[in-house]
Amino acid sequence: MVHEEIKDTLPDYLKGALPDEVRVEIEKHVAGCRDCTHELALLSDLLGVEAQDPGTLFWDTLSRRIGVHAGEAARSRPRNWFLQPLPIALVASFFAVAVLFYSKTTTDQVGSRSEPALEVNLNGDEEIVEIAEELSEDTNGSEDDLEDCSAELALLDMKELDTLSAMLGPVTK
Amino acid sequence: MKDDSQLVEEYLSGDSRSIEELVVRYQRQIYYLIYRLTNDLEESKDLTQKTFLKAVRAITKFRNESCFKTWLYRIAVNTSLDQIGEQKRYPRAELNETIADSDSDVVSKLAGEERKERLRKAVHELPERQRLAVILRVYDGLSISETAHVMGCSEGAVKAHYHHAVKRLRNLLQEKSDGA
Repeated sequence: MVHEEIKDTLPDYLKGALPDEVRVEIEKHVAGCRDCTHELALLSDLLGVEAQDPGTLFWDTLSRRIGVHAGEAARSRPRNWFLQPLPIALVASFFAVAVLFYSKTTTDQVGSRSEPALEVNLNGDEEIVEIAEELSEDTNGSEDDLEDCSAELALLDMKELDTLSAMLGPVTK
Repeated sequence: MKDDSQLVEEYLSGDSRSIEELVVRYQRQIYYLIYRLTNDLEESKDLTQKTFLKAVRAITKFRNESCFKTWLYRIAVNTSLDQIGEQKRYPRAELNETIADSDSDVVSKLAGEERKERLRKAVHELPERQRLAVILRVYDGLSISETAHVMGCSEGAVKAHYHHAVKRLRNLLQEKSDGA
C-alpha cells in the first residue's frame, strides 16, 4: 500500500478491523513515516475524548418510551387488507360461487335448446302447451275432442294463435 | 441473537417489543454520534429520541438492501444537522457556553485533560461535513463505503472530507499549542 492508502486505513487500524498482513504492513510503514506517526497519535487522542454520559435513567427508559410509541404507530398504520387471511377467504368464496353460478347457467342453456316445450313453459304460456299437446294427439282422436280443442282455440287472441301455430308445425308433421 | 432485519420484520408483523430490542442495541451508538455532532447533553438526549421516533415512523420504507445500522445513522445525522441548522438561524442563549468555559477552566488544570478538551473543541470547530467524516470514521468505526452511505456522498468525497479534517485538526492543535 502507498502512503495515502495507509492514511485512509488508519481509522480501521485503530479499530482493529484489519487482517493481520495489512496490520503488519501498516505498522512497518508508520514506524518509518513521521506524517503517519503524527496522524495515528492524533486519532488515538481523538478516541480518548469522551462524550458526556446521559445517565442510567436515560438508557433504561428510552427503549420503553420508543416501544410505547411504536405500539401506537403499529395500531394506527393502515394494514394491507388483501394479504390478510379473512379477505383472501372471502375473495376465494366469491370466485367459487361465481364459477358455480356460471356453470349452472351454461347447463340450463344447453338443456333448454333440446326442449322447446320447456322454453315455452319458462315464458309462462302453459295453456298453449296444453292445447298443442291435445292437438298433436288429435290426429288419432275423436270428433268430440276436436270440437273441444276448437272451442279452446276460440278463446285465444291472435298473438297466442301465432305462437301456437309456430309450435304445431313440428308437432303435426 | 436475531439480526436487525428479523427484528424489523417482527415489528412489522405486530410485535412492538422488537423495536425496543433494536433501540437497546443502537441507543448508545446513536447518542454518542449525536453528542459528538452537537456537543450538547440535553440536545443529544432529545435528538436521540427523535431519531428513533422518526425511524419507527419510516420503518415501512426501510429496504433490506441497505444495512439497518447505516439507515438509522443516516436518520440520526439528518435529524442532528437539521437541528444544528436551526440553531445557526436562531442562536440560543450563551448559558451553555459559560458553563462549558468554566468547566474547561477546571479541567485544563490537568495537562492530559487539557489536550482532550482542546481536541473536543477543535473537532467542534470543524466544518459540518468534515466533522461528520471524522466522527463516523474514527469514533463509529464505519468503513469508507458505510460513511459515504450515511453522508449521502461518494467514497472519494468521504476521503477528501476526512483528510481535510485531520489536516485542519493538526493545524488547530498546533496553533493552540504555539499560542499557549
